[in-house]
Amino acid sequence: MSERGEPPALFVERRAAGGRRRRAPVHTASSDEWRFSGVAVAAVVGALATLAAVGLLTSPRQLRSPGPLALPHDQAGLTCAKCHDQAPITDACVGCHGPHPSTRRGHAKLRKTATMTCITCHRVHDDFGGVAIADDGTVTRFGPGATRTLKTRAGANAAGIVPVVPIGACGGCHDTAAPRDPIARCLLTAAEDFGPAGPAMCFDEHRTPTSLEVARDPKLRGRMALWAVARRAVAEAPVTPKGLPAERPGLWLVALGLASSVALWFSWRAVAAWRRRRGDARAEPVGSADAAKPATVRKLPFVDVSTCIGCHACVDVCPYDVLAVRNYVAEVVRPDDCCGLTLCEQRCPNGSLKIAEGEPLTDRPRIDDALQSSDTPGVYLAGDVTGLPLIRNAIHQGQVAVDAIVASLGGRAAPADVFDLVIVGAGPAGLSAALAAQAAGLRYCVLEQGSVAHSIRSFPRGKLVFDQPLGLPLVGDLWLAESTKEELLSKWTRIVREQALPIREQTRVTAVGRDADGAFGIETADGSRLRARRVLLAMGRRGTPRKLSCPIPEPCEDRVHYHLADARTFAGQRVVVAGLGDVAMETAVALAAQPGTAVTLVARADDFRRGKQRNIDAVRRASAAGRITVRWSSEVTVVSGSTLRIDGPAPEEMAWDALFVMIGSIAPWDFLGRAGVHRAQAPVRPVVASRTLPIVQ
Amino acid sequence: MTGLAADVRRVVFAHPLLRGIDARGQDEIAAAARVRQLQPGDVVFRRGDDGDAVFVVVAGHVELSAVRRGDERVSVVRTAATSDTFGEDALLADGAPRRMTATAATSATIAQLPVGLLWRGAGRAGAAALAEREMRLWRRRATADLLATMAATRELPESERELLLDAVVHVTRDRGETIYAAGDASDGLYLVVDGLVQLQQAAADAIGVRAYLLPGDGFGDEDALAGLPRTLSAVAMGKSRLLLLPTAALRTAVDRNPRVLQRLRRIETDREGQQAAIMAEADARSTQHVFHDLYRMQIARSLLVIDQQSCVRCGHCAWACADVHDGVARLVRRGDKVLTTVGEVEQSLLVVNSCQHCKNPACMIDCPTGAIGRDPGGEVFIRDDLCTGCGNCAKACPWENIRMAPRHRPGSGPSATATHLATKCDLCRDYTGPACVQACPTSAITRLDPNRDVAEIAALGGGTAQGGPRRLSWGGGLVAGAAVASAGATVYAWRLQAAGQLQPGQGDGWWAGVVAAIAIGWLLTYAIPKRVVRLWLRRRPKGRRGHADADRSVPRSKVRPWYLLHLCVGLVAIVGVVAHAGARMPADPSGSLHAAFWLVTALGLAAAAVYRLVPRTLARLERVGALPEDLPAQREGLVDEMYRRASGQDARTKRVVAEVLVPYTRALSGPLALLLSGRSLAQERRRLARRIGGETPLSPALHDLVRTVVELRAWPLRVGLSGLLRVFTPLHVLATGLLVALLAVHVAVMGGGP
Repeated sequence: MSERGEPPALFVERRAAGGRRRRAPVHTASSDEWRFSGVAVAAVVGALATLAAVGLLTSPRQLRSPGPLALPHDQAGLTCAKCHDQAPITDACVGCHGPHPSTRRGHAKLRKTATMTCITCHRVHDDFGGVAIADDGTVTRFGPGATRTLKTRAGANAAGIVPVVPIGACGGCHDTAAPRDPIARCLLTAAEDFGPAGPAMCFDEHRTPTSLEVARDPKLRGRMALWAVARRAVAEAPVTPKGLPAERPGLWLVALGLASSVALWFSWRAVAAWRRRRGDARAEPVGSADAAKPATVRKLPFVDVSTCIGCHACVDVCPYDVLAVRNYVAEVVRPDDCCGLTLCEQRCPNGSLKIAEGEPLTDRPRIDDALQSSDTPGVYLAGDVTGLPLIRNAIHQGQVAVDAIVASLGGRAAPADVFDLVIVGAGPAGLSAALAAQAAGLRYCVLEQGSVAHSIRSFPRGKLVFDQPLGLPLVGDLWLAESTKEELLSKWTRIVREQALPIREQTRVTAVGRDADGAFGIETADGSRLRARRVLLAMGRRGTPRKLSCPIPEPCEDRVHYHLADARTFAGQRVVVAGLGDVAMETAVALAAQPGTAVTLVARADDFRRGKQRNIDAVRRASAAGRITVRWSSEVTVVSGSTLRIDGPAPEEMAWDALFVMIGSIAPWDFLGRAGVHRAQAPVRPVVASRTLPIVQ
Repeated sequence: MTGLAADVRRVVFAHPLLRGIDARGQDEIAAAARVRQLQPGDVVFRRGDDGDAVFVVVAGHVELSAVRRGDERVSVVRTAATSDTFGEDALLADGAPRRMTATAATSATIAQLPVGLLWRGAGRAGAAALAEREMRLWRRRATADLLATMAATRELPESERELLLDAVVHVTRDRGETIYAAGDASDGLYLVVDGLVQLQQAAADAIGVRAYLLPGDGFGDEDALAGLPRTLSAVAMGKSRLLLLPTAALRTAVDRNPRVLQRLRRIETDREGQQAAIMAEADARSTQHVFHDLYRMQIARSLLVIDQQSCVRCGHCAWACADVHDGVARLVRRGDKVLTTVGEVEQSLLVVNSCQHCKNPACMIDCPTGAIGRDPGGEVFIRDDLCTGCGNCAKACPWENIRMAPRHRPGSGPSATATHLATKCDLCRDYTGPACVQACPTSAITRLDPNRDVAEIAALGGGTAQGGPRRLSWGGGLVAGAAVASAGATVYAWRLQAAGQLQPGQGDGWWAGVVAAIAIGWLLTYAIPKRVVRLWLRRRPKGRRGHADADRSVPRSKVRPWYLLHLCVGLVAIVGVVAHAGARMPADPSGSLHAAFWLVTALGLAAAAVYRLVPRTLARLERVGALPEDLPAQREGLVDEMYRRASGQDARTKRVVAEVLVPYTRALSGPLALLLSGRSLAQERRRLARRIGGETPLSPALHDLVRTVVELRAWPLRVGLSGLLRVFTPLHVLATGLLVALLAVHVAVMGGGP
């Protein structure tokens, strides 16, 4: 069955790793549960509507008749019994209409053998019709359940009814198409156009009155006048008018009934879907929109251990592993990493965890609620740089900032050489802002020193990106869900491509300054200068990676890395990782998992001081297994093409293939300061409403 | 009945073991505890039962008996008198089997305390150090028992065994955690105490499984004795407890008793030989094999599975579940698909997201308030009154079988403030059987114990499968017979009609109309068993609820016979209508009725035909179970996956992607060709692989890419076929509404009109 040499086909589930998930699945009704909702109601309503239609639109007399009833019979209030209780039925016809036997020779012969009766030709339950002439001379063509008033008018005192037999009724005996058949004389000119529904014009066929007869019977004159009117009427409306569909229930009743119940069901589904969506939105644990505002004071969770039940709710929701459960109660283990969102407090099921506020934060830029710098109006900030380091927040802030910018621009056009907005940085905040600016129709561009979502690109391969905080509604068009780094990047690059966002990659901004006319000048490393009315700084907090203190010779530069994109490319190499932060540890562990890779971790500290517990555990395990060598209290002091010098308790020269420098980064405070964005000074004063900007003409 | 009365509580917490627990811990334990009244001779637990509670005797005497080592007979080990405890062996490991049988000697009252809460209470109250010391002693004793039960160590003298006991290290690993990786330094011999371990060999992106190790198996000794780094990786497939015998101790033991290792080796060889055969077959069936998540199969006591080849995807199981459980379905028809043998029948099973009542429930251990319990029958259940809605259990369940749902009734106690509660399958505790199984119109869904019913799993443990598919064997024959009979009768009636011998208003024609009307009336009643589930769902007798019915057998579908009869009676109605009305279609309500009847019949027959034909095809074309609403996202995911897999590959792979695979996914007629060819996903993959590489095997990257593009090609078919399965029945029901209205008019008018 399987090809030889094919790689083994059993795979370990990716999600099996770790076992525990950080988010509890929430029940959402599947289509299985709601797919029949409303069907019963729609069926019952459809049935009732059909009943109503039958009751309202059809006369009860017509219900039992095998076909539609001619209008005069209906109007005369004939019941079935009136005709059918007598045998033969012809007696009933003669009873009302009098004897009008056909006097033609052939017909008379048939009549004698009782093969031909009134109803042979006058099929009263079929499309039987006629011409009715009222006292006032109005001529009406009638059929089963339908009338049509004609232009033809009759003379005075010519009132009466002339039955019109459709030619189809003669078809049993006559060949209506043959010119030699006697019926040919009865055909209206071009009657073949109407087929069997066409009228037989020989109203007088029962008797052809001679002048003698007419003289003897004055009534005959009147009848002949009637026939003349009827001929005109039939010439004008050859075919018996059929009743309107509403008066002739048939297939249309079924079709209409089904269509209406299907329509009803679909609208029911639409309403139910809308209500479900609303319900789901409500069921979603609420997070406040305040989460998008960066905290101005340090916040710290406190756990009341006498009530904490140790349920991990706070631990799992914290994006920075500030909390952990030990001895069945939650503890604050890394207070310095608290990002100030209050998700843990919101999630605690019994109020054991409270957030206390500490001293004001000073390493945050001073911004107002609209994310505008309090020092330099016109410069906006979004994303990590505001002090809120989460992807979902960044997306939120990008949108909020552009909304504020659009409002402040007020729809006035700028000179051709001045952008409405320049966005610095194409990370989550920058992309979200770019999408918002695109939607608002601004003239804008995005400047990015690396490539799109550079810092996410540098995540380790396969890293799960969490979309916390969960409570914060996701606004804007940028996609986000709990996914792997690769999934996120592929979605984002596709969005960038499809929306054709004007992003200039590899363009580092060196300075932002204000010109005399109030516009900003944005200088880039390649020497060009852009001008814009508003600037959005969404460049993150990482700034530029911190470099080693020793010089790196030029030929070695492409072997020195500041982030790890794909560990697989370093398989079988001798790799040195400098640093002991989370990034360094994650990198070292990922590298050590590659076959044949020798990893040396060079740390200035003498033991694990900080970092996530799971990273520390992983490094410990790898070093116990001999896959990572940790050099404590050491530093890389000399880099040369062939060897690295590592100074420490046991100085060493070692051969190397790749060096990862992961000793933190230099925050972009200098740059921000030059752009006129200053750090908060303790204590933070409430921000005064921003000044009005000079308007660029 | 949970919770302890004040007097019982006083007795319970006077025990030395429990005295140290603080007031809050006592409250929690008291809330989750259960008081049981026993008559003399009542059994509290038996040897081998799951131990997840410690008992305190409130009044009376309970005897603990066991077959002592070396004895033949059962003898009383000790008697627990008032205020004594028993069943402490549960403290050792979560859910460890009982070693003794506890029987009430006199009529007695006992309090049953959940173990998890005892640990939490003790740990929080600062008794951690004390607890740890206790734990060490208990563990040592348990390890001694374990070693004694192993054939390999039986020949060790007592002193040697003591040495081993001193040397062993207890290791616990969670699901998915690595015990050791290839290339690690070897640290000794591992013995599996509990759980499941997979030995893997990593090659590029793919991971090959070399062996599955069950409790009692040992591994890793060869590397350790040779002093070489590990050649394979060992990964815990579920929470596993292991004993590590460090290399030095292992060497000593082996040097002194060479035969021990030989015996151990022989066990391993036996095991490998047994597995090799099963796994050779597994290889051919790739990711859908039942071994894909073997741990799940092993730990499950009652696994809810849907046979995809007969499941018509109507979702009535989930609907019935929601109907019985306050509108919140506790099963979702999503999950892994496995190919396996149940009884002797090859089946393609969807393992749905529904509680499988694990032997070793992670949720129960993680519940901080003891809200999750397990009755002696093995049913794991959640007590709503104790649930705080913290979601810990839902996060712990590896298969997402617990979901948080908004609460419907106001709660009390710890649960009072919770807006969401944890919900999971409770096997319809209040009723005699699960609603989902009984409501399935095709008997496709059933609960089974994989270790008993699934051939491969049973074989792995050294046994043979017992269970078979629970099906109505006469169903298909009945409907086929009815179809043939009805076709004959219809033709006969048609000819009589054509000859004018049957008239609607008189004689046999009239009676045929009456028969048709009665049949239609009967057909309508199918809605009752289908939608009023509670009507036939029988309540369990109150006294028996929750315990002493471990042997509760899984009932058959109650709806299935109704469905078959619905089909048969529908065929009778056709004969009746033809005999009554023939081809008459007058333009009045009677004509409408006739048209409506044929519309309803056509929709019904179409639905039945689709139900019969489509599931088999659909089962062939899907790799995982998914609801129709998941399909758009799945397609997007597959496209993403294709491009992601292609990125960063070598030039040849990229060329293959651009020239073969992308056009393959875009070919408009591709899905149709796949449908008509009758190939399964695996066969199509093989065909495509041959087209790309001839007889040479594909690189791992291309192998994965081929899998992705084949799924992409099958995607439109899946959408179409699932749509086909779902479109007819609602229309059938809607049209039936019209039919009934028109029939009522017809009967009223013809029965006594003007």
